[in-house]
Amino acid sequence: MRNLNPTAPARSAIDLGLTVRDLHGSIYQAMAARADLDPGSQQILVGGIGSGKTTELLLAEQWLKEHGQTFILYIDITAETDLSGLNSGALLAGLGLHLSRAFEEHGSANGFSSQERKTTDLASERIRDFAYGQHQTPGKLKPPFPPMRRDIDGMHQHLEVLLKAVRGQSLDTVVIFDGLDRLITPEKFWAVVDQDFQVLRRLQVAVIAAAPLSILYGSGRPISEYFDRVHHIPTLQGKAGSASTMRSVLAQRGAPDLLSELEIEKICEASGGVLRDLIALARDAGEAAYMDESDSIKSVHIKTVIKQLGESYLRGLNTDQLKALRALIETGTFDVSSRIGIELLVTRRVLEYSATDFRVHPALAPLIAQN
Amino acid sequence: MAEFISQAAFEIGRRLELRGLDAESWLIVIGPAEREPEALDTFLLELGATIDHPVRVIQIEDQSTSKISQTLREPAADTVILTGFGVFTPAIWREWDLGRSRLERPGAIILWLTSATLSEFCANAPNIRGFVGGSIFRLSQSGSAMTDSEISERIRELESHYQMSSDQMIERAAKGELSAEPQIAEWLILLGRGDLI
Repeated sequence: MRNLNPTAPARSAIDLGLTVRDLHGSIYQAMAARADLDPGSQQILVGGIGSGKTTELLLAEQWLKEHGQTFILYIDITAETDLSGLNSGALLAGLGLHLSRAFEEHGSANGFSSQERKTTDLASERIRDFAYGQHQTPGKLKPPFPPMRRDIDGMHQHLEVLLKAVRGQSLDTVVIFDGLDRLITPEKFWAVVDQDFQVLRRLQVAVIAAAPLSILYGSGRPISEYFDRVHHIPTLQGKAGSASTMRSVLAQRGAPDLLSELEIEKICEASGGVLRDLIALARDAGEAAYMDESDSIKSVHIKTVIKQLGESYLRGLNTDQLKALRALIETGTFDVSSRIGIELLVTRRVLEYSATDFRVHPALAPLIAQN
Repeated sequence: MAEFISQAAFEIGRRLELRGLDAESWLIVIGPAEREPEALDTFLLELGATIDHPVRVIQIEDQSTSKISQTLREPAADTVILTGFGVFTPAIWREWDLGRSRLERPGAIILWLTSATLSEFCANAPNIRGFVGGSIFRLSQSGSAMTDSEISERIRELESHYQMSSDQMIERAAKGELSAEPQIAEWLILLGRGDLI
């Protein structure tokens, strides 16, 4: 049962061998290879909530460590700081701090002359001031203040000092930024990344970043065109072989020990191909049987957990959203570029199976009909 | 059929134990309106008794994720009940949702919500909602999911399973002769003897 933990840290799931590496057609390899071969390239990874983005990013990190000639940093920037103020400079500050720490921990400054050491230490100090603020000047990683172009350009110099030291060891730098997909709208995403990514491109630091799903549609499209490559993780259902892919995800985690073939099929269908929902439904079904003191997982347990998931998607919907969902169910019409359409996509009430195939989450659909 | 299934505190405890108390579980308990703190106190007591693991309540009010993140890490492995979401605006929920990574910890997080705050949460925090999934449970009004006849029936089942009367079980529990199984804890709570857990 512990292997069916939908909220286990992605890194530990990878380390325990619970992930299916080619689940999304080896997107991670494509991202990593491009970053390795093209210094300064900038790629984004988009996918719905619970689609496995963090896993793909960590697999890319692993691939680069094993195969690339790169100095690689994975940063969940939303774990480091509060981005709700949409503050430019936060990504540069986060990268700078990680670079400084990596220098201290791995002794990358070994072999430097005392002058070189002084220069890198001073750059690290300036980066910390930029991140956390000096006596009079607020930092980038505190409650936000309007971004200053001059400020960010200044950071360019300090980062360049550390990056030069990395290049001195014949390595290019790749940074993976996770968490930026939670900025939800393309405008918020762009407000945070725009200036920072321009600096990183000038510094020839390759970037791979999680980005909001909304960037594929409507007002997000011009923003997505800035990037060298946009990788999309679609929901698992709807493409050839998806049923066996979902089964392999559950098999990797020992689900066939708990669930019959028929029950696995029901869970795969009810998950809509959302990876986290798939794993959670399997876990919850086992839990429901345990709570019922049943010897095995029965149909009633599957039904209960599917309904629980559906109710959680149903809650919080407003009348406009309910109308749009009903229209999708009854007539197949869905305006993916509208504000309502993007909201429903981002919150996984509507799932994208292709550029033109959108469906209501299967756990939610029967409850819409009843409402 | 009711919207979400109802569960008593000890049933929530059994779920957490099955998942693993260090499994980064997220779940929601829909309690009564926040003006009834007694329900939360009772829930805290029964949950703590069931899982034999530290449980604490954190009043959120309007604290930022940075501040809460620190509180959640000190310590990081216990079970935490977060309450006080009545003051949350949609903007605060979205800020929390954006900062979900800073809330993650090995110990379980239980969001104590009312029906109204649950709707606000589901509307504005899709990333945290994705972690909760279908783990949303109503706490029944009496704090237990069972009627008097159901309680009697359940006690009879436990007596039959363990081949001893409730009085014998209480005597042995008082002497510390019983193992810390969830069903024993449940039995004691049903008899109103949670003090012996």
